[in-house]
Amino acid sequence: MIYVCAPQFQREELTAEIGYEIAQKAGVEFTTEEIDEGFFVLELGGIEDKLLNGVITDIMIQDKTKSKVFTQVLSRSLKVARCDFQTALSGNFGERYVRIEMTNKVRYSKEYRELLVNCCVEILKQIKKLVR
Amino acid sequence: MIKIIKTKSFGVEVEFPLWDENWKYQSWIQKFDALAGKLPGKLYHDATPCGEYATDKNDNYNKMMDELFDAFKQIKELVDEKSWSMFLVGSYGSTNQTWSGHMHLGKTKNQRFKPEENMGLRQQMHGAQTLIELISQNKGATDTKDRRATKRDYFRYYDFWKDDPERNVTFANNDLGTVECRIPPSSDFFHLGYVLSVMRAWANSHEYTYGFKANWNQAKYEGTDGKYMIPTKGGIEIVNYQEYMVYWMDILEENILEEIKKFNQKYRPKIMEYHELFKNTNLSDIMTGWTRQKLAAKTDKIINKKVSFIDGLNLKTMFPSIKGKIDTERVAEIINVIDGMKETESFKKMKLFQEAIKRGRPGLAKPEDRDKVKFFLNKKNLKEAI
Repeated sequence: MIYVCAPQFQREELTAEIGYEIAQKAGVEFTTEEIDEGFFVLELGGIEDKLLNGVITDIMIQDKTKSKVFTQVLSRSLKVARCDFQTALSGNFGERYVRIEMTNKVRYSKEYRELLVNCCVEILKQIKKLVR
Repeated sequence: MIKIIKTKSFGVEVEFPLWDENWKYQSWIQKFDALAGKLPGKLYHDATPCGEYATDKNDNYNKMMDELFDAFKQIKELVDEKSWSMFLVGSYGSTNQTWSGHMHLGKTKNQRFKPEENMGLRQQMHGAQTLIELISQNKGATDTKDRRATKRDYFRYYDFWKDDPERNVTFANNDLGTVECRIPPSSDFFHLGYVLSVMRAWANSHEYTYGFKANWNQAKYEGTDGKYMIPTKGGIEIVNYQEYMVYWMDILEENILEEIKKFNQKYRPKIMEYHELFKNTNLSDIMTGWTRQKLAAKTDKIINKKVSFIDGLNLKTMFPSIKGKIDTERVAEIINVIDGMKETESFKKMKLFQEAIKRGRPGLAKPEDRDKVKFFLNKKNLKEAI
C-alpha cells in the first residue's frame, strides 16, 4: 500500500487538500493518520516562507529513497532545501519514506501547487509500477 | 457429478508438552487421572512426550471453545501446583517435536462417516493441504523454515496411504469415523478456531478438489519462500506465497466469513484478527525469536485471560515483491511527462513574469506578458493608473 499522509493537517493549512489531490490522481491511499505500515509513504507538511542561507526556499525535503527521485524531479523547478525531519513517521519506513514541507508560497499559489502535485503524482505512479 | 460430503460436526485434539523446573520433558501428572473423568472430552497421555486433550464431538463452535478454555484452565491449575510449565504452542518452530492441534471433521454429532463418505471428504479436502499448511506453520528463532513441516508425512503409516500415496497425504481416516487433518500445531485456541473455519469453508466449497503435490512440497520445504502453482484461464501460473494466499483467500473469503460468524462475540473478534493477519502476513513472521519463557507466559494468558498470542506483537507487514527500480531512465520518463503538461507551462510563464519584474527586464517575460511587466515597471504609468 502506498500512502500520502498529512498528519498535521489541522495546523498546517492545505496540506490535506494537496495530499488528497496527489493521492487521487496517482491512485494511491490518502490518510491523515500517523500510519505505521505501508509500502511507501509520502508525508506532507507546511512551513512558513523562509530564507535558508540567504536563499528563499520553496520546499524542504527529506527524501530517503535510494534514487532521490523526489529531490531530482522537484529541484528542477523549485528551490529545494534538504533536511532530516524527526517526525513520528520518519524513522519507520527506511528508504520508503519522503517528507515534503511546503512553504506558504507553494501551498497558496495555484501554479506552484499544481506543479508540485503533478510531480508527486508522476513519481508515485512510477513507484506503483514497481510493485507487483 | 461429485456427491458432496457434508460435515456437521468437528473437534480438536490439543497436545501439550510439560516441562519441569529444570526444563526437562515430563509426560504426565498423576492428578490428571482424576481430572480426566470430569472433563467432557478425553484427557490422556499421548505417545509423544506430552499430554493431550481431545474435545468432545461438537456441532457448535462456541461450545467447543468454551470446553477448550475450561478444560485447560483446570489442567493448568494442576501443572502450576507442580511448578511445571506447559506449552500450547506446538508451533514453536525451533523444536522439531510435532505437538499438534489435529482437527476432526465429522458427519454429525452422533453419526460416523461410512468408509466411502470418508474417502469422499478426504478427496474434497485434498487441495486444501497447502493452504492449511501455510496458515499453520511457524519458523524457529534461528531457522528459516518450520522444522516440523517436513515431518508432516508421518501419517503415511495410516491405511489411507496405501489407497493412494499421491493424494490425501494429511487427511486421515481414523477409528472415530471422522476425517482428521494432522497439519495444525497446538497453537492458541483462536488460531485453531480460525484454521477450523478455513477447513470447513473449504469443505463447503467442494468444487476445489484438485491440488498439486508440488505446492504441498513447496509449502513443507520452502514455506513463505516457496513458488506455488495456481490454475488460471490461460493454464497454470507460478506465483509467490503472498499471491497464492491472496488467490485462495479471495475464493474462500465469503465462506470463511460465514463460518467465523458462527462464533459468538466472545471469540469472533480474535478469530477475525487471524483472518486479517493471514491476508497480510503469516504466522511464521510473528513467531520468530520467541523464547520458552515467553511462550509459557503466553500459554497462561491464553488459558486464563483468553487472549490470543498475537496480542501485543508488532506484526511484520509482508511487502509485495518489487520489480525494477527508479533508475535514470524512469526519472527521465517522469520529467518528460511533467514537462509536457500545461500546468508546467503555466508555472514557467509565472516564474518568467516574476523574474522580469525582479530584474526590471520586461524582455525576460513571455511576449504576451511584456506589456504588463512594462506597466508595473513604469512608475509614472502606475501612478496614473492609481
